[in-house]
Amino acid sequence: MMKKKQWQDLYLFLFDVKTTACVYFVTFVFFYLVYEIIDPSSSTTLDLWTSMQILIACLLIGFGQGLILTRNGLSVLRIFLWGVWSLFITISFSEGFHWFNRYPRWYSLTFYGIIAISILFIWLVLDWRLQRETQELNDALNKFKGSSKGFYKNNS
Amino acid sequence: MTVKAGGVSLKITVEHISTGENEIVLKCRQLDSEIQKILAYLKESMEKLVAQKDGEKFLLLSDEVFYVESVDNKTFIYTKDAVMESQDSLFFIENKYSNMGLVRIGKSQLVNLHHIKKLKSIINSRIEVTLESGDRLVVSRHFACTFKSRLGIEN
Repeated sequence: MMKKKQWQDLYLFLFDVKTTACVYFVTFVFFYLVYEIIDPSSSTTLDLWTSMQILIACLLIGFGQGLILTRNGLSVLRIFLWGVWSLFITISFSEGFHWFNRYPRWYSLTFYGIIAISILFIWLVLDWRLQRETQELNDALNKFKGSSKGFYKNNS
Repeated sequence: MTVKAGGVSLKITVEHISTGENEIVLKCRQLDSEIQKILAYLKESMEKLVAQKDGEKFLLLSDEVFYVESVDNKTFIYTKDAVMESQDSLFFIENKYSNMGLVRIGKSQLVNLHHIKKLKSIINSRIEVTLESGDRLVVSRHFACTFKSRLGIEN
């Protein structure tokens, strides 16, 4: 039987997955429909089946992010794996289900490019996290050294 | 000055003297756990590590040790400006002086927390340590959690 903490971890994991999937879903749908503004002569509509495909793709990306980019395991390898996974899902769903068949080729390539750039921004997250951890480590070190050379910390 | 340790108030008096040896006098109604800890700390901090360099033997206080490294089954002690060899194993030094700030950072290295100048979190959950001597060491991923908890960071 699952303990309370495991349930909480699972719920928090699913919450993160849902949030990520939602952000990607909104981005995908926006990109799918915004073409009508770029080319007013065209008419873009999103049918239910395509929207379901987009939703599944976004959920897979969300699950991938939750499983690969764990809070305590952010590393170069994980970011690389996450990038490959997300691009693989995006391109295979888009090409496999012919999302952009009615659009010019440059449009789908731009779409992949934008998704790739958004994935690169994960590097920023890694950098911010390292900076924050560095600050936390040095604060703890100064506190340790300041408390009578760590005497009370070590012995209490 | 009055400090609180383990919920017990302790009065600390520092008296400056111009002649004679340094002396510590502990006044207590009974030898309770707090006083015993202080005694243990004093005893450990006064214990000296035996190390040798160029055939000459030296007695080092744990506070003089910056870091300890084991290479090819030999233990080397690094001070501010010297490297000495010790007959003690890394494991022995770690256990004996852990209360004095020596902490394991890798399979073959210990570092003295009191001589760390700064820390930097680096990729793959490792930590770069810069010592007051300018030397740089890396806390491996495996020991990063223990290292952080020694600094009071909850993982």
